[in-house]
Amino acid sequence: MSLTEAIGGAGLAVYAEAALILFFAAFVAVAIQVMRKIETKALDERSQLPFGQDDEIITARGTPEAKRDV
Amino acid sequence: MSGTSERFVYDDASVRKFAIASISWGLVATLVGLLLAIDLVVPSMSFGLPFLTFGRLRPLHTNAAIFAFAGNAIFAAIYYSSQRLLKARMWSDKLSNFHFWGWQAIIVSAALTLPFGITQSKEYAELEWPIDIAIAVVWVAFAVNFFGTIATRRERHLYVAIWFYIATIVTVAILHIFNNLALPVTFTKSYSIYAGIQDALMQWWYGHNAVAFFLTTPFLGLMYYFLPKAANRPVFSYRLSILHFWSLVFIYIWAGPHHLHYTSLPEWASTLGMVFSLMLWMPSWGGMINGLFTLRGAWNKVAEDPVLKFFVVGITFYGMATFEGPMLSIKSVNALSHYTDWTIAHVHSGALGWNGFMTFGMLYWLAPRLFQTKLWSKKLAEVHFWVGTIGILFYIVAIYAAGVTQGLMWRAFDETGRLAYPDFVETVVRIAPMYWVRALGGLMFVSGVVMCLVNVLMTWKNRPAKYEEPVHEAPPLEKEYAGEEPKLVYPAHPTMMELGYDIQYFTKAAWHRVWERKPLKFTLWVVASVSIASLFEIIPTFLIRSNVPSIASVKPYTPLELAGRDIYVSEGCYNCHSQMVRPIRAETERYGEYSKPGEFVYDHPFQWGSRRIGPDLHRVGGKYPDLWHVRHMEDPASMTPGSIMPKYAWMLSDDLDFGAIQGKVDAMAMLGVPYGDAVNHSVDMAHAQAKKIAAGVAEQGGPKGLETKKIVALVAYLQRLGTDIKAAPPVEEGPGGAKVAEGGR
Repeated sequence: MSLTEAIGGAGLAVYAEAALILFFAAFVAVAIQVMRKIETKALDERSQLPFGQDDEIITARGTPEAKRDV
Repeated sequence: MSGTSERFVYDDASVRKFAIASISWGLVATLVGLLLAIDLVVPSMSFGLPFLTFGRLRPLHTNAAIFAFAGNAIFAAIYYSSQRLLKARMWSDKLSNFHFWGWQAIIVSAALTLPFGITQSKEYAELEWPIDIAIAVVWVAFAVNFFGTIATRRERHLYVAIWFYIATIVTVAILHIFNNLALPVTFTKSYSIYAGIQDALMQWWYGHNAVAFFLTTPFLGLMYYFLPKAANRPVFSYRLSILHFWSLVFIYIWAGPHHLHYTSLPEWASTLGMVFSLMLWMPSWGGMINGLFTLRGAWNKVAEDPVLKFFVVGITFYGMATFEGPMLSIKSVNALSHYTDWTIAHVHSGALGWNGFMTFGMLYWLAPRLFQTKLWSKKLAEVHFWVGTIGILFYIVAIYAAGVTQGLMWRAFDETGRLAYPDFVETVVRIAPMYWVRALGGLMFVSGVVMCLVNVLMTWKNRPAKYEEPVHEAPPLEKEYAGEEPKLVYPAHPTMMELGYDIQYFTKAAWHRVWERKPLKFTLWVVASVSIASLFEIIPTFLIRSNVPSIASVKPYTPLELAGRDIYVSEGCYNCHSQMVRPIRAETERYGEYSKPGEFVYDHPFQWGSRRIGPDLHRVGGKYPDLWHVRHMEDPASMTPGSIMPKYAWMLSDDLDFGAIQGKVDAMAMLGVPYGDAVNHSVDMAHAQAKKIAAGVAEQGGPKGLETKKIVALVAYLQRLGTDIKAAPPVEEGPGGAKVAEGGR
């Protein structure tokens, strides 16, 4: 049986419905595990990553004009 | 700082260049858009000049908006934020420079080719093959520089913005390469290796995901970095960003076929595209919610800060556009909206609102930091915000109204069961006032772009004589990760040990914490996500013969028709005319028999189009005499009063390059088009058919001496369109396969 015949006989009419069920189930599974109150500290730490750098506005005189307030 | 710390400075010079390029090209893109908007109500605005016609300028507008304005904006965002998130200077200054100048050279190349009719005619992938190769080279240089920076980073974890940049870089490369596979004919001409429905599927796999991975994922990365910075608070939910990222990357890539509902694309592919488009609601709104909720408790800042105003409205437009997109993918909605200006309103709410406003917000936030001085005028930024917002609303409300009007008029029947508006031009005339309002909205948006450009340039003018380059310190990464790992509780029963470990590993999201510090693994999973989805759609479309039932009477274009088709492509006719009659009663009544997949097997590239500023042309062959077409091209309004099509009078005076025809036929034959004997005498065949058409036109009282002009080739092509299925199937085929129609028609 050639690849063309195999795919041609695969019944693609149910392709979309099967995909919807499969991926909705996967989505729900991932959603549940991501939304669980776990790893809160580690996640909070990672959400602070943009604030780990100094990128205050430097004026022509070289003095900081505005500082981050977090 | 410990003795092992390393000192480094960031490359903000590249960010400055990309930022200024973005707003400068933004002005070009929106000015061309404004000219096009006026073209549609005052067609004489093209002044009879080929390079000012709508068909040739529209690709310049879309390419400039996407790749020049938005492209330079995302590079500015990526270069600025990645260095800071990774605590590393960009890996190679030479590659950064090559990336910047290479990308600008590509944009200039687009400006020098598209208005002159050098195009592949695939929407947002119009650039010809040498420029496509240049894009691939520059993109790879960018990717090497980006991943090199990741490899030399001093921050173990990759922040969420970096994930979106990774998805952008790898997926755009895949999309660009596979959609642009073409056989070169000359330095400025190529034919897509795909034909008909396969070309259509590849194009909209690319076209839809260009929106996804060039206009969505990098801007989400931008949002995840610059919004928290501007608001001075961390992102609302890091958990939500994990869910939102992976579901977006995995689902988006499937949705392309929703651009082809009710076309000749197989039903299963169309339905698959719709289903996944609906699923996109969830991750898209996950991003919007994460963005807007980041401002929780800080909404008072929005009232005072134009940067936050731009971000809030930009994210709101993202939410609106990503609600509307899945809605438009529902087949019954799409039957009304497709080919109308509704789609144009949809993409402009996304492009102007989401991409435009996120870019402006970022530029106003960056300008003082990049140029190390105050923003020249906060007041002007405020004025820009309000003028731009009202401009977008004028634009989209008018065009939504125009789109729905078109859709309803096209499908309206009177009480006798006939089309209520049988002349297409009736809808054109009806929506003209809305086009004026659109032009007004566009003018306001362009005014805002000018304000932003002035503000950025004046801020740049006030820069210090020499930029300070703050030195940063951070320890290099240890080879082995020594940080805290998620604590796993092992089940008591030894036989359940492994399974329990696996379950814990998954449910504690430990896997993602690990992936975030393993960029190679992370990237491979992104590649797997987009590739699997792509292959599930592409392989069956290419392999299943029943997707494209063959029609014995469908034959290759004659050499002259092929030359005419190339003129059709070159003039960008697909920007205003579709070649796809959908199996909908209103369409078969108006245009004739619905289009069959087997009719397009020799169409390299396909010309289905995506909108109908003018009527569908798939069944136009034989509908009018040759002379009608000649007069119509010379002055469309003389044959169709109220028409907004520009004059193509040069078609009657410009010579057709008969010498190029042989190479085109040879190229088509190489792509598998069964030209048989025509391969050996295509130029003679073309001359013979041209003389026949020119003589007929002269006999009908038209101009004489057209046999060497472009118009005969274009007429030959138009008269052939959609006629093959009306012909009786050939009794027998020659050894070379299907016969070429001798003399046309």
